[in-house]
Amino acid sequence: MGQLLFKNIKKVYDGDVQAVADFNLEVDDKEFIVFVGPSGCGKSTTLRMVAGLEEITEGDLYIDGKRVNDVAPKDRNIAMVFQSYALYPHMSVYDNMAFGLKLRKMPKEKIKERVQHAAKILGLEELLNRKPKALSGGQRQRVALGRAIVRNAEVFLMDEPLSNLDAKLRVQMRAEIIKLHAKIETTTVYVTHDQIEAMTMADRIVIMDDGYIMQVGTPSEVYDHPDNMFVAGFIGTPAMNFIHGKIDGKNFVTETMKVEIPKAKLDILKKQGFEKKPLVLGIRPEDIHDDNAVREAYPNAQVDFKVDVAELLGSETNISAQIGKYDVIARVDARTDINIGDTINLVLDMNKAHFFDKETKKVIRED
Amino acid sequence: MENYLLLVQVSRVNQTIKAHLDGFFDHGKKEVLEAKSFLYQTSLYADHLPHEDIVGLLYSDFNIKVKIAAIGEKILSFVSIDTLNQTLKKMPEEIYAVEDLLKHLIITNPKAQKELRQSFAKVLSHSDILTLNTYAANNLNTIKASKSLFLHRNTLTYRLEAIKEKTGIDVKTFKGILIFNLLFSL
Ligand SMILES: Nc1ncnc2c1ncn2[C@@H]1O[C@H](COP(=O)(O)OP(=O)(O)OP(=O)(O)O)[C@@H](O)[C@H]1O
Ligand SMILES: [Mg+2]
Repeated sequence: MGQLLFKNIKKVYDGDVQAVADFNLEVDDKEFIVFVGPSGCGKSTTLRMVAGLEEITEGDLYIDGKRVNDVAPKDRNIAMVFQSYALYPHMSVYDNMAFGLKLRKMPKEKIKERVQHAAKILGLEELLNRKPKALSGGQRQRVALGRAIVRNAEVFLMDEPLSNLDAKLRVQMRAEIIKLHAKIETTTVYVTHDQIEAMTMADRIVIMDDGYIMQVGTPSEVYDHPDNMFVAGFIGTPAMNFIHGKIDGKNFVTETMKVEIPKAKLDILKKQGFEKKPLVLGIRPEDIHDDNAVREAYPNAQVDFKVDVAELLGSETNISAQIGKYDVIARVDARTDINIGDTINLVLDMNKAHFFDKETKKVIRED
Repeated sequence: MENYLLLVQVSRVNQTIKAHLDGFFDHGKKEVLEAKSFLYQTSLYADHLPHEDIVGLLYSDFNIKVKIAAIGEKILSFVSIDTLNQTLKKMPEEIYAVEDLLKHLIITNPKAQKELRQSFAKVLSHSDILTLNTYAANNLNTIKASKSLFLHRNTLTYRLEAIKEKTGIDVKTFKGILIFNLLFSL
Protein backbone atom coordinates (compact mmCIF):
# COMPACT_ATOMS: atom_id res chain seq x y z
CA MET A 1 0.00 0.00 0.00
CA GLY A 2 1.15 3.51 -0.66
CA GLN A 3 -1.27 6.07 0.65
CA LEU A 4 -0.25 9.58 1.55
CA LEU A 5 -2.18 12.02 3.66
CA PHE A 6 -1.15 15.64 4.06
CA LYS A 7 -3.00 17.40 6.87
CA ASN A 8 -2.55 21.14 7.19
CA ILE A 9 1.11 20.86 6.25
CA LYS A 10 3.09 24.06 6.49
CA LYS A 11 6.73 24.90 5.91
CA VAL A 12 8.42 28.04 7.09
CA TYR A 13 12.14 28.28 6.41
CA ASP A 14 14.64 30.07 8.58
CA GLY A 15 14.21 33.74 8.06
CA ASP A 16 10.43 33.49 7.84
CA VAL A 17 10.11 32.38 4.23
CA GLN A 18 6.76 30.63 4.05
CA ALA A 19 7.30 28.04 1.35
CA VAL A 20 4.18 25.93 1.86
CA ALA A 21 0.93 27.10 3.44
CA ASP A 22 -1.77 24.77 4.74
CA PHE A 23 -1.32 21.90 2.29
CA ASN A 24 -4.10 19.31 2.40
CA LEU A 25 -4.16 16.32 0.11
CA GLU A 26 -4.96 12.63 0.01
CA VAL A 27 -2.98 10.52 -2.44
CA ASP A 28 -4.45 7.10 -3.16
CA ASP A 29 -2.53 3.87 -3.44
CA LYS A 30 -1.12 3.38 -6.98
CA GLU A 31 -1.89 6.93 -7.96
CA PHE A 32 0.49 8.94 -10.14
CA ILE A 33 0.20 12.45 -8.81
CA VAL A 34 2.00 15.45 -10.26
CA PHE A 35 2.83 18.71 -8.48
CA VAL A 36 3.11 21.53 -10.96
CA GLY A 37 3.50 25.28 -10.66
CA PRO A 38 5.87 28.15 -11.33
CA SER A 39 9.37 28.35 -9.88
CA GLY A 40 9.38 28.89 -6.13
CA CYS A 41 5.78 27.78 -5.54
CA GLY A 42 6.82 25.10 -3.04
CA LYS A 43 6.77 21.87 -5.09
CA SER A 44 10.21 20.61 -4.07
CA THR A 45 9.72 21.68 -0.47
CA THR A 46 6.53 19.63 -0.25
CA LEU A 47 8.18 16.61 -1.85
CA ARG A 48 11.23 16.90 0.39
CA MET A 49 8.99 16.93 3.45
CA VAL A 50 7.57 13.59 2.31
CA ALA A 51 11.09 12.27 1.79
CA GLY A 52 12.03 13.46 5.27
CA LEU A 53 14.78 15.69 3.91
CA GLU A 54 13.03 18.81 5.16
CA GLU A 55 11.40 19.22 8.54
CA ILE A 56 7.66 19.83 8.67
CA THR A 57 6.96 23.11 10.44
CA GLU A 58 3.31 22.41 11.19
CA GLY A 59 0.71 19.78 10.36
CA ASP A 60 0.76 16.01 10.03
CA LEU A 61 2.00 13.73 7.32
CA TYR A 62 0.82 10.14 7.15
CA ILE A 63 2.17 7.31 5.03
CA ASP A 64 -0.21 4.36 5.06
CA GLY A 65 -1.97 5.71 8.09
CA LYS A 66 1.21 6.13 10.11
CA ARG A 67 2.30 9.60 11.16
CA VAL A 68 5.85 10.05 9.88
CA ASN A 69 6.74 13.62 10.86
CA ASP A 70 9.47 12.34 13.15
CA VAL A 71 10.56 9.26 11.20
CA ALA A 72 14.06 9.41 9.64
CA PRO A 73 14.19 9.28 5.82
CA LYS A 74 15.81 5.86 5.75
CA ASP A 75 12.98 4.46 7.86
CA ARG A 76 10.17 5.82 5.69
CA ASN A 77 9.18 3.36 3.04
CA ILE A 78 9.82 5.78 0.20
CA ALA A 79 12.36 6.05 -2.61
CA MET A 80 13.44 9.40 -3.96
CA VAL A 81 14.70 9.96 -7.49
CA PHE A 82 16.79 13.11 -7.59
CA GLN A 83 16.96 15.59 -10.44
CA SER A 84 20.69 15.08 -10.95
CA TYR A 85 20.30 11.29 -10.55
CA ALA A 86 22.72 11.39 -7.60
CA LEU A 87 24.43 8.10 -8.32
CA TYR A 88 27.52 7.09 -6.43
CA PRO A 89 30.21 7.85 -9.01
CA HIS A 90 32.72 5.32 -7.74
CA MET A 91 30.31 2.37 -7.82
CA SER A 92 29.09 0.29 -10.75
CA VAL A 93 25.52 0.42 -12.00
CA TYR A 94 24.89 -2.90 -10.27
CA ASP A 95 26.24 -1.64 -6.96
CA ASN A 96 24.34 1.61 -7.20
CA MET A 97 21.13 -0.30 -7.61
CA ALA A 98 22.00 -2.91 -4.98
CA PHE A 99 23.16 -0.33 -2.50
CA GLY A 100 19.94 0.52 -0.71
CA LEU A 101 19.27 -3.18 -0.24
CA LYS A 102 22.75 -3.88 1.14
CA LEU A 103 22.23 -1.10 3.64
CA ARG A 104 19.05 -2.87 4.67
CA LYS A 105 20.98 -6.11 5.09
CA MET A 106 19.13 -8.10 2.46
CA PRO A 107 20.72 -11.48 1.54
CA LYS A 108 23.04 -11.35 -1.49
CA GLU A 109 21.07 -13.77 -3.63
CA LYS A 110 17.87 -11.86 -3.15
CA ILE A 111 19.59 -8.57 -3.99
CA LYS A 112 20.90 -10.09 -7.20
CA GLU A 113 17.43 -11.25 -8.16
CA ARG A 114 15.90 -7.84 -7.55
CA VAL A 115 18.62 -5.93 -9.38
CA GLN A 116 18.42 -8.21 -12.39
CA HIS A 117 14.68 -7.94 -12.48
CA ALA A 118 14.82 -4.12 -12.38
CA ALA A 119 17.65 -4.06 -14.92
CA LYS A 120 15.49 -6.06 -17.28
CA ILE A 121 12.50 -3.76 -16.90
CA LEU A 122 14.74 -0.76 -17.55
CA GLY A 123 16.91 -2.23 -20.30
CA LEU A 124 20.08 -1.91 -18.24
CA GLU A 125 21.20 -5.54 -18.37
CA GLU A 126 24.22 -4.84 -20.56
CA LEU A 127 25.37 -1.90 -18.48
CA LEU A 128 25.51 -3.34 -14.98
CA ASN A 129 29.30 -3.25 -14.76
CA ARG A 130 29.71 0.31 -15.95
CA LYS A 131 30.35 3.34 -13.80
CA PRO A 132 27.83 6.22 -13.98
CA LYS A 133 30.41 8.37 -15.75
CA ALA A 134 30.30 6.02 -18.72
CA LEU A 135 26.53 6.34 -19.15
CA SER A 136 24.38 8.76 -21.09
CA GLY A 137 21.96 11.05 -19.28
CA GLY A 138 18.99 8.83 -20.08
CA GLN A 139 20.83 5.72 -18.90
CA ARG A 140 21.80 7.41 -15.65
CA GLN A 141 18.20 8.36 -15.12
CA ARG A 142 17.22 4.75 -15.62
CA VAL A 143 19.72 3.64 -12.99
CA ALA A 144 18.26 6.19 -10.60
CA LEU A 145 14.82 4.72 -11.29
CA GLY A 146 16.31 1.26 -10.79
CA ARG A 147 17.55 2.23 -7.35
CA ALA A 148 13.98 3.10 -6.48
CA ILE A 149 12.42 0.02 -8.07
CA VAL A 150 14.59 -2.57 -6.30
CA ARG A 151 13.64 -1.13 -2.96
CA ASN A 152 9.97 -2.12 -3.44
CA ALA A 153 9.17 1.14 -1.70
CA GLU A 154 5.55 2.12 -1.12
CA VAL A 155 5.99 5.55 -2.64
CA PHE A 156 8.29 6.96 -5.32
CA LEU A 157 9.20 10.61 -5.12
CA MET A 158 10.61 12.30 -8.21
CA ASP A 159 11.75 15.90 -8.38
CA GLU A 160 12.02 17.09 -12.00
CA PRO A 161 13.69 13.81 -12.96
CA LEU A 162 13.81 14.65 -16.66
CA SER A 163 14.93 18.25 -16.58
CA ASN A 164 18.57 17.42 -17.25
CA LEU A 165 17.74 15.57 -20.47
CA ASP A 166 17.42 17.04 -23.95
CA ALA A 167 13.94 17.54 -25.37
CA LYS A 168 13.80 14.36 -27.42
CA LEU A 169 15.05 12.11 -24.66
CA ARG A 170 12.68 13.80 -22.23
CA VAL A 171 9.68 12.79 -24.30
CA GLN A 172 10.97 9.25 -24.54
CA MET A 173 11.70 8.94 -20.80
CA ARG A 174 8.32 10.44 -20.02
CA ALA A 175 6.70 7.56 -21.88
CA GLU A 176 9.00 5.07 -20.17
CA ILE A 177 8.09 6.32 -16.71
CA ILE A 178 4.39 6.07 -17.53
CA LYS A 179 4.87 2.51 -18.77
CA LEU A 180 6.90 1.66 -15.72
CA HIS A 181 4.17 2.97 -13.47
CA ALA A 182 1.55 0.95 -15.32
CA LYS A 183 3.67 -2.12 -14.73
CA ILE A 184 4.70 -1.78 -11.10
CA GLU A 185 1.88 0.48 -9.90
CA THR A 186 3.86 2.15 -7.13
CA THR A 187 2.28 5.33 -5.83
CA THR A 188 4.29 8.17 -7.33
CA VAL A 189 4.58 11.84 -6.53
CA TYR A 190 6.22 13.63 -9.43
CA VAL A 191 7.32 17.26 -9.44
CA THR A 192 7.66 19.32 -12.58
CA HIS A 193 7.20 22.89 -13.71
CA ASP A 194 6.36 21.65 -17.20
CA GLN A 195 2.60 21.59 -17.65
CA ILE A 196 2.79 19.31 -20.67
CA GLU A 197 4.63 16.74 -18.57
CA ALA A 198 1.99 17.17 -15.89
CA MET A 199 -0.93 16.82 -18.31
CA THR A 200 0.46 13.75 -20.06
CA MET A 201 1.66 11.81 -17.03
CA ALA A 202 -0.69 12.52 -14.15
CA ASP A 203 -3.69 10.66 -12.81
CA ARG A 204 -4.29 13.84 -10.84
CA ILE A 205 -2.51 17.17 -10.92
CA VAL A 206 -1.87 19.44 -7.98
CA ILE A 207 -1.39 22.99 -9.21
CA MET A 208 0.46 25.22 -6.77
CA ASP A 209 1.19 28.91 -6.57
CA ASP A 210 3.12 30.75 -3.90
CA GLY A 211 2.84 27.94 -1.35
CA TYR A 212 -0.88 27.34 -1.88
CA ILE A 213 -2.74 24.59 -3.71
CA MET A 214 -4.76 26.29 -6.43
CA GLN A 215 -6.57 23.17 -7.63
CA VAL A 216 -6.39 19.38 -7.52
CA GLY A 217 -7.95 17.37 -10.31
CA THR A 218 -7.50 15.08 -13.27
CA PRO A 219 -5.85 16.64 -16.33
CA SER A 220 -9.20 17.09 -18.04
CA GLU A 221 -10.82 18.56 -14.92
CA VAL A 222 -8.20 21.23 -14.50
CA TYR A 223 -8.19 21.94 -18.23
CA ASP A 224 -11.94 22.04 -18.80
CA HIS A 225 -13.05 23.30 -15.41
CA PRO A 226 -10.37 25.49 -13.88
CA ASP A 227 -11.31 26.77 -10.42
CA ASN A 228 -9.62 30.11 -10.82
CA MET A 229 -7.76 32.40 -13.20
CA PHE A 230 -4.39 31.13 -12.05
CA VAL A 231 -5.12 27.55 -13.09
CA ALA A 232 -6.93 28.71 -16.22
CA GLY A 233 -3.90 30.73 -17.30
CA PHE A 234 -1.27 28.22 -16.21
CA ILE A 235 -2.63 25.11 -17.92
CA GLY A 236 -2.78 25.20 -21.72
CA THR A 237 -0.58 26.71 -24.44
CA PRO A 238 -1.12 29.24 -25.79
CA ALA A 239 -2.71 30.35 -22.54
CA MET A 240 -6.41 31.06 -22.06
CA ASN A 241 -7.41 34.58 -23.11
CA PHE A 242 -8.87 36.88 -20.47
CA ILE A 243 -11.16 39.75 -21.37
CA HIS A 244 -12.49 42.10 -18.69
CA GLY A 245 -16.07 43.33 -18.93
CA LYS A 246 -19.56 43.12 -17.48
CA ILE A 247 -23.10 41.92 -18.13
CA ASP A 248 -25.48 44.09 -20.13
CA GLY A 249 -28.84 42.41 -20.72
CA LYS A 250 -28.10 39.03 -22.29
CA ASN A 251 -24.61 40.03 -23.30
CA PHE A 252 -21.07 40.21 -22.02
CA VAL A 253 -19.75 43.60 -23.02
CA THR A 254 -16.49 45.51 -23.07
CA GLU A 255 -15.85 48.92 -24.61
CA THR A 256 -15.37 47.34 -28.02
CA MET A 257 -17.02 43.96 -27.95
CA LYS A 258 -20.41 42.43 -27.30
CA VAL A 259 -21.18 38.68 -27.17
CA GLU A 260 -24.30 36.87 -26.11
CA ILE A 261 -24.03 34.62 -23.06
CA PRO A 262 -25.81 31.25 -23.36
CA LYS A 263 -28.88 31.16 -21.13
CA ALA A 264 -27.65 28.48 -18.73
CA LYS A 265 -24.45 30.40 -18.04
CA LEU A 266 -26.26 33.70 -17.77
CA ASP A 267 -28.65 32.28 -15.20
CA ILE A 268 -25.78 31.18 -13.02
CA LEU A 269 -24.05 34.54 -13.29
CA LYS A 270 -27.24 36.33 -12.31
CA LYS A 271 -28.01 33.92 -9.51
CA GLN A 272 -24.54 34.44 -8.07
CA GLY A 273 -25.08 38.19 -8.11
CA PHE A 274 -22.81 39.21 -10.98
CA GLU A 275 -25.33 41.28 -12.90
CA LYS A 276 -23.60 44.47 -11.82
CA LYS A 277 -20.14 43.23 -10.81
CA PRO A 278 -16.97 43.28 -12.91
CA LEU A 279 -16.33 39.97 -14.69
CA VAL A 280 -13.55 38.31 -16.61
CA LEU A 281 -14.38 36.19 -19.63
CA GLY A 282 -11.91 33.37 -20.23
CA ILE A 283 -11.76 31.69 -23.62
CA ARG A 284 -9.13 29.27 -24.87
CA PRO A 285 -7.48 29.97 -28.23
CA GLU A 286 -8.93 26.77 -29.70
CA ASP A 287 -12.44 27.84 -28.68
CA ILE A 288 -12.32 30.79 -31.04
CA HIS A 289 -13.33 29.70 -34.53
CA ASP A 290 -13.69 30.95 -38.05
CA ASP A 291 -16.00 28.30 -39.49
CA ASN A 292 -19.59 28.89 -40.39
CA ALA A 293 -21.06 26.04 -38.39
CA VAL A 294 -19.97 27.72 -35.17
CA ARG A 295 -21.05 31.10 -36.52
CA GLU A 296 -24.54 29.72 -37.05
CA ALA A 297 -24.62 28.23 -33.55
CA TYR A 298 -23.55 31.49 -31.93
CA PRO A 299 -24.60 34.25 -34.32
CA ASN A 300 -24.33 36.79 -31.54
CA ALA A 301 -20.83 35.83 -30.43
CA GLN A 302 -18.97 37.17 -33.45
CA VAL A 303 -16.06 39.48 -32.85
CA ASP A 304 -13.84 41.50 -35.18
CA PHE A 305 -10.15 40.87 -34.60
CA LYS A 306 -7.42 43.22 -35.77
CA VAL A 307 -4.53 40.89 -36.63
CA ASP A 308 -1.10 41.61 -35.11
CA VAL A 309 0.61 38.34 -35.99
CA ALA A 310 -0.51 35.27 -37.87
CA GLU A 311 1.63 32.19 -37.35
CA LEU A 312 1.06 29.17 -39.54
CA LEU A 313 1.84 26.02 -37.54
CA GLY A 314 1.18 22.91 -39.59
CA SER A 315 -2.54 22.34 -39.66
CA GLU A 316 -3.33 25.39 -37.56
CA THR A 317 -2.84 29.12 -37.59
CA ASN A 318 -2.27 31.08 -34.38
CA ILE A 319 -3.66 34.57 -34.73
CA SER A 320 -2.60 37.23 -32.25
CA ALA A 321 -5.00 40.09 -32.27
CA GLN A 322 -6.35 42.97 -30.27
CA ILE A 323 -9.84 43.30 -28.93
CA GLY A 324 -9.92 46.78 -27.50
CA LYS A 325 -7.03 46.84 -25.07
CA TYR A 326 -6.80 43.06 -24.67
CA ASP A 327 -4.33 40.84 -26.48
CA VAL A 328 -6.06 37.71 -27.64
CA ILE A 329 -4.80 34.60 -29.36
CA ALA A 330 -7.05 32.46 -31.55
CA ARG A 331 -6.10 29.08 -32.95
CA VAL A 332 -7.99 28.39 -36.15
CA ASP A 333 -7.63 25.91 -38.99
CA ALA A 334 -4.65 26.61 -41.21
CA ARG A 335 -5.11 29.74 -43.28
CA THR A 336 -2.55 31.45 -45.42
CA ASP A 337 -4.66 34.38 -46.46
CA ILE A 338 -4.38 36.39 -43.25
CA ASN A 339 -2.15 39.43 -43.23
CA ILE A 340 -0.98 41.66 -40.45
CA GLY A 341 -3.35 44.58 -40.08
CA ASP A 342 -6.36 42.70 -41.49
CA THR A 343 -9.59 42.75 -39.58
CA ILE A 344 -11.18 39.32 -39.52
CA ASN A 345 -14.42 38.10 -38.09
CA LEU A 346 -14.21 35.18 -35.67
CA VAL A 347 -16.71 33.56 -33.37
CA LEU A 348 -16.40 32.50 -29.74
CA ASP A 349 -17.69 29.07 -28.75
CA MET A 350 -19.63 30.52 -25.84
CA ASN A 351 -20.43 27.17 -24.30
CA LYS A 352 -16.68 26.83 -23.68
CA ALA A 353 -16.41 30.29 -22.17
CA HIS A 354 -15.42 30.60 -18.51
CA PHE A 355 -16.48 33.48 -16.28
CA PHE A 356 -14.39 34.64 -13.33
CA ASP A 357 -15.03 37.05 -10.51
CA LYS A 358 -12.62 39.88 -11.24
CA GLU A 359 -12.09 40.51 -7.56
CA THR A 360 -11.47 37.01 -6.19
CA LYS A 361 -10.22 35.57 -9.49
CA LYS A 362 -12.38 32.52 -8.82
CA VAL A 363 -14.55 30.88 -11.44
CA ILE A 364 -18.26 31.57 -11.10
CA ARG A 365 -20.24 28.37 -10.98
CA GLU A 366 -23.32 26.93 -9.40
CA ASP A 367 -22.98 26.29 -5.67
CA MET B 1 38.52 29.26 -14.28
CA GLU B 2 39.32 29.70 -10.60
CA ASN B 3 39.83 26.52 -8.63
CA TYR B 4 37.06 25.79 -6.21
CA LEU B 5 37.44 24.19 -2.84
CA LEU B 6 34.64 22.37 -1.18
CA LEU B 7 34.48 22.47 2.56
CA VAL B 8 32.52 19.41 3.63
CA GLN B 9 31.36 18.64 7.15
CA VAL B 10 29.56 15.51 8.28
CA SER B 11 27.62 14.77 11.44
CA ARG B 12 29.10 11.30 11.75
CA VAL B 13 32.03 9.56 10.11
CA ASN B 14 33.37 6.10 9.42
CA GLN B 15 35.36 4.42 6.66
CA THR B 16 32.33 3.83 4.45
CA ILE B 17 31.11 7.38 4.69
CA LYS B 18 34.60 8.68 3.95
CA ALA B 19 34.79 6.45 0.90
CA HIS B 20 31.50 7.83 -0.42
CA LEU B 21 32.48 11.44 0.20
CA ASP B 22 35.73 10.78 -1.66
CA GLY B 23 33.74 9.16 -4.45
CA PHE B 24 31.71 12.31 -4.93
CA PHE B 25 34.23 15.01 -4.27
CA ASP B 26 37.79 13.77 -4.51
CA HIS B 27 39.31 14.73 -7.83
CA GLY B 28 42.91 14.48 -6.75
CA LYS B 29 43.37 16.67 -3.75
CA LYS B 30 41.91 16.39 -0.30
CA GLU B 31 42.82 17.71 3.10
CA VAL B 32 41.49 16.46 6.42
CA LEU B 33 40.86 19.54 8.57
CA GLU B 34 39.29 17.76 11.48
CA ALA B 35 37.80 14.32 12.00
CA LYS B 36 34.51 15.44 10.48
CA SER B 37 35.67 18.30 8.23
CA PHE B 38 37.27 17.84 4.84
CA LEU B 39 38.54 20.16 2.17
CA TYR B 40 38.31 18.94 -1.41
CA GLN B 41 39.68 20.59 -4.49
CA THR B 42 37.52 20.59 -7.57
CA SER B 43 38.01 22.18 -10.92
CA LEU B 44 34.33 22.26 -11.74
CA TYR B 45 32.32 25.34 -11.14
CA ALA B 46 30.87 24.62 -7.75
CA ASP B 47 27.38 25.49 -8.93
CA HIS B 48 27.35 22.68 -11.42
CA LEU B 49 27.69 19.95 -8.85
CA PRO B 50 24.37 18.60 -7.61
CA HIS B 51 25.22 19.29 -3.99
CA GLU B 52 21.68 19.38 -2.77
CA ASP B 53 20.97 15.95 -4.21
CA ILE B 54 24.18 14.51 -2.79
CA VAL B 55 23.28 15.83 0.65
CA GLY B 56 19.79 14.35 0.29
CA LEU B 57 21.12 11.01 -0.89
CA LEU B 58 23.61 10.63 1.96
CA TYR B 59 20.95 11.61 4.47
CA SER B 60 18.43 9.11 3.07
CA ASP B 61 20.98 6.29 2.81
CA PHE B 62 23.08 6.83 5.95
CA ASN B 63 21.15 9.21 8.13
CA ILE B 64 24.10 11.58 8.20
CA LYS B 65 23.81 15.33 7.83
CA VAL B 66 26.28 16.82 5.38
CA LYS B 67 27.11 20.49 5.00
CA ILE B 68 28.92 21.87 1.99
CA ALA B 69 30.43 25.27 1.36
CA ALA B 70 31.94 26.20 -1.99
CA ILE B 71 35.00 28.36 -1.60
CA GLY B 72 37.13 30.05 -4.25
CA GLU B 73 40.86 29.71 -3.58
CA LYS B 74 41.49 33.43 -3.75
CA ILE B 75 39.42 34.24 -0.67
CA LEU B 76 41.83 32.26 1.49
CA SER B 77 44.32 35.14 1.29
CA PHE B 78 41.86 37.09 3.44
CA VAL B 79 40.41 34.56 5.81
CA SER B 80 41.77 31.25 7.07
CA ILE B 81 40.17 27.96 6.20
CA ASP B 82 39.97 27.18 9.92
CA THR B 83 37.86 30.26 10.53
CA LEU B 84 35.54 29.25 7.67
CA ASN B 85 35.37 25.72 9.02
CA GLN B 86 34.37 26.94 12.48
CA THR B 87 31.84 29.33 10.95
CA LEU B 88 30.17 26.63 8.86
CA LYS B 89 29.69 24.54 12.01
CA LYS B 90 27.46 27.22 13.46
CA MET B 91 25.24 27.62 10.44
CA PRO B 92 21.84 25.93 10.19
CA GLU B 93 21.50 25.05 6.51
CA GLU B 94 23.31 22.50 4.39
CA ILE B 95 24.68 24.30 1.39
CA TYR B 96 26.46 27.61 1.32
CA ALA B 97 28.60 29.86 -0.81
CA VAL B 98 31.62 31.46 0.82
CA GLU B 99 29.81 34.80 0.90
CA ASP B 100 27.22 33.27 3.25
CA LEU B 101 29.99 32.23 5.63
CA LEU B 102 31.62 35.64 5.48
CA LYS B 103 28.34 37.38 6.17
CA HIS B 104 27.71 35.20 9.19
CA LEU B 105 31.23 35.83 10.42
CA ILE B 106 30.95 39.59 10.01
CA ILE B 107 27.63 39.79 11.79
CA THR B 108 28.45 37.52 14.71
CA ASN B 109 32.13 38.11 15.39
CA PRO B 110 33.39 41.70 15.80
CA LYS B 111 37.01 40.64 16.02
CA ALA B 112 36.85 38.63 12.82
CA GLN B 113 35.01 41.49 11.19
CA LYS B 114 37.84 43.86 12.01
CA GLU B 115 40.47 41.45 10.74
CA LEU B 116 38.58 40.90 7.54
CA ARG B 117 38.20 44.65 7.00
CA GLN B 118 41.93 45.14 7.50
CA SER B 119 42.97 42.38 5.16
CA PHE B 120 40.61 43.52 2.37
CA ALA B 121 41.72 47.13 2.92
CA LYS B 122 45.26 46.09 1.97
CA VAL B 123 44.23 45.27 -1.59
CA LEU B 124 41.35 47.71 -2.11
CA SER B 125 42.12 51.34 -2.93
CA HIS B 126 39.98 54.26 -1.76
CA SER B 127 38.50 54.53 -5.20
CA ASP B 128 37.66 50.81 -5.15
CA ILE B 129 35.72 51.30 -1.94
CA LEU B 130 33.97 54.38 -3.30
CA THR B 131 33.09 52.39 -6.40
CA LEU B 132 31.64 49.55 -4.32
CA ASN B 133 29.63 51.85 -2.08
CA THR B 134 28.20 53.77 -5.00
CA TYR B 135 27.39 50.56 -6.86
CA ALA B 136 25.57 49.22 -3.80
CA ALA B 137 23.76 52.52 -3.21
CA ASN B 138 22.47 52.32 -6.77
CA ASN B 139 21.09 48.80 -6.31
CA LEU B 140 23.74 47.20 -8.52
CA ASN B 141 22.55 49.27 -11.46
CA THR B 142 25.68 49.87 -13.55
CA ILE B 143 24.15 52.68 -15.57
CA LYS B 144 23.08 54.72 -12.56
CA ALA B 145 26.25 53.95 -10.61
CA SER B 146 28.52 54.95 -13.50
CA LYS B 147 26.68 58.25 -13.93
CA SER B 148 26.99 59.03 -10.28
CA LEU B 149 30.73 58.23 -10.40
CA PHE B 150 31.21 60.19 -13.66
CA LEU B 151 32.64 57.07 -15.25
CA HIS B 152 31.94 55.34 -18.52
CA ARG B 153 29.85 52.25 -17.95
CA ASN B 154 32.58 50.01 -19.33
CA THR B 155 35.10 51.54 -16.96
CA LEU B 156 32.87 50.71 -14.03
CA THR B 157 32.35 47.15 -15.25
CA TYR B 158 36.08 46.81 -15.68
CA ARG B 159 36.72 48.05 -12.13
CA LEU B 160 34.19 45.65 -10.68
CA GLU B 161 35.86 42.80 -12.55
CA ALA B 162 39.24 43.89 -11.21
CA ILE B 163 37.88 43.87 -7.65
CA LYS B 164 36.56 40.37 -8.21
CA GLU B 165 40.00 39.30 -9.42
CA LYS B 166 41.70 40.81 -6.39
CA THR B 167 39.31 39.56 -3.72
CA GLY B 168 37.69 36.45 -5.14
CA ILE B 169 34.25 37.90 -4.40
CA ASP B 170 31.82 38.52 -7.22
CA VAL B 171 30.64 42.00 -6.36
CA LYS B 172 28.11 42.01 -9.18
CA THR B 173 25.89 39.75 -7.08
CA PHE B 174 23.86 40.88 -4.08
CA LYS B 175 25.56 38.31 -1.87
CA GLY B 176 28.98 39.56 -2.94
CA ILE B 177 28.41 43.30 -2.65
CA LEU B 178 26.77 42.79 0.73
CA ILE B 179 30.08 41.67 2.22
CA PHE B 180 31.81 44.92 1.31
CA ASN B 181 28.74 46.92 2.20
CA LEU B 182 28.82 45.43 5.70
CA LEU B 183 32.56 45.95 6.05
CA PHE B 184 33.07 49.39 4.59
CA SER B 185 29.91 51.43 4.97
CA LEU B 186 29.06 50.80 8.61
N1 LIG C 1 16.63 26.27 2.36
C1 LIG C 1 15.81 27.29 2.15
N2 LIG C 1 15.83 28.40 2.92
C2 LIG C 1 14.99 29.43 2.73
N3 LIG C 1 14.07 29.47 1.74
C3 LIG C 1 13.99 28.41 0.92
C4 LIG C 1 14.85 27.27 1.06
N4 LIG C 1 14.54 26.37 0.09
C5 LIG C 1 13.53 26.92 -0.62
N5 LIG C 1 13.20 28.14 -0.13
C6 LIG C 1 12.14 29.03 -0.61
O1 LIG C 1 10.90 28.37 -0.50
C7 LIG C 1 10.08 28.63 -1.63
C8 LIG C 1 9.68 27.34 -2.31
O2 LIG C 1 10.84 26.73 -2.86
P1 LIG C 1 10.81 25.34 -3.64
O3 LIG C 1 12.22 24.94 -3.90
O4 LIG C 1 9.96 24.38 -2.92
O5 LIG C 1 10.10 25.76 -5.00
P2 LIG C 1 9.83 24.90 -6.33
O6 LIG C 1 8.37 24.99 -6.56
O7 LIG C 1 10.43 23.56 -6.22
O8 LIG C 1 10.55 25.76 -7.44
P3 LIG C 1 11.45 25.31 -8.73
O9 LIG C 1 10.47 25.04 -9.85
O10 LIG C 1 12.25 26.52 -9.01
O11 LIG C 1 12.26 24.12 -8.35
C9 LIG C 1 10.87 29.58 -2.51
O12 LIG C 1 10.47 30.88 -2.21
C10 LIG C 1 12.29 29.34 -2.08
O13 LIG C 1 13.07 30.49 -2.29
MG1 LIG D 1 12.02 22.55 -7.20
